[in-house]
Amino acid sequence: MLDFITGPLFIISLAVFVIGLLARAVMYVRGLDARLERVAYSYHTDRSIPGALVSIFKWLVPGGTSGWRAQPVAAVLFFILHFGAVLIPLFLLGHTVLLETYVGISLPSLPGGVADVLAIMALSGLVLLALRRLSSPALRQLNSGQDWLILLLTFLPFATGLMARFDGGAYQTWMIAHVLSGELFLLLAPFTKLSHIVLFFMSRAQIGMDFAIKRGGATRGGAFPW
Amino acid sequence: MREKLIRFRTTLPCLLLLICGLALMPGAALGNELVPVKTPSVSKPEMPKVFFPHDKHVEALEAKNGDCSTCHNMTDAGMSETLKDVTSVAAKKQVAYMHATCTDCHVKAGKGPRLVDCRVCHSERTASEFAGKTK
Repeated sequence: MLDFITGPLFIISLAVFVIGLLARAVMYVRGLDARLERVAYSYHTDRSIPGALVSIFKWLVPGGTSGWRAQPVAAVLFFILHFGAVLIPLFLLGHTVLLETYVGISLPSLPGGVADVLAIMALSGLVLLALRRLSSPALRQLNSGQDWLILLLTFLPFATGLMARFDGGAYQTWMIAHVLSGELFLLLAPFTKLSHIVLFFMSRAQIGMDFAIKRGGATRGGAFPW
Repeated sequence: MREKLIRFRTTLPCLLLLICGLALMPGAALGNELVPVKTPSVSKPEMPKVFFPHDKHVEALEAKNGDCSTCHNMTDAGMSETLKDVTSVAAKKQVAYMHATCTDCHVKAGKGPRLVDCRVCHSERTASEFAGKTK
């Protein structure tokens, strides 16, 4: 069974992940309408492209936008989750060995101690984000099953991965659980709010373009262009 | 009465308790003849040293009427003590060679750790137990 889970099932979930997210990105772009949004996307590329890139970059930096600064707790929790959640799947030694053996791509790997710290940070970020979701007055009105689902989907690979890493009793059971929960994450990502993996870039680009073309925005000093 | 009796805030802790319960399951017992693997020379080992259960492999091979040459090359000086052609591979590629060769055979045989089971071979416990052992 392990050969199936780590072989064909992994390829299938990776394919669904990549193709699904690409499809979501394409669908996003096709859903834009220059007339409805009243933004001339194709015409002012000297403003729109820097605007899009600046918006994406600023949101990727802790405290880079007034939006982040207005919610410092959420911002901190977001970054402690995402540093680990992005770096570990790509650069953990266990993952790079597999990537090198089966795909031939050699990525540098994180030192063990750093990976442990990042994983624990990611898990704490997740738990605290869940608590925030329960206590924030705004979020309590908006919470849906989808929100909890993606918290759980992200929690499971990190929790099972750490349990395996600590090599207590049932190591191979934890590893199977880890592989399965990772594949579940990959399979469901394009169909849930986890698609923010690509849609973050899409929507930040769209707003950045809108603001840079129409409303002054970051690239033009902030004045409204009458 | 509330709409949803069992919500995520009850399900998640229960799930966590269940998962923690699995942690109490005992691990597998190891064979006695554990040979320290020295061939891939790693400058900065990130994982614990591998102690190879040679006796388990001899048993498995004998059950299939195999012999030592499955894993060991015969040289003029007798049988080599290392796995097949690992010493003729470039130093940086020796780890990858070991990983690929060992797991290939495990897949063919249908048993034994795969490449996802890192700590079955790189066991912290075994490495610290046999720390001083060089043969």
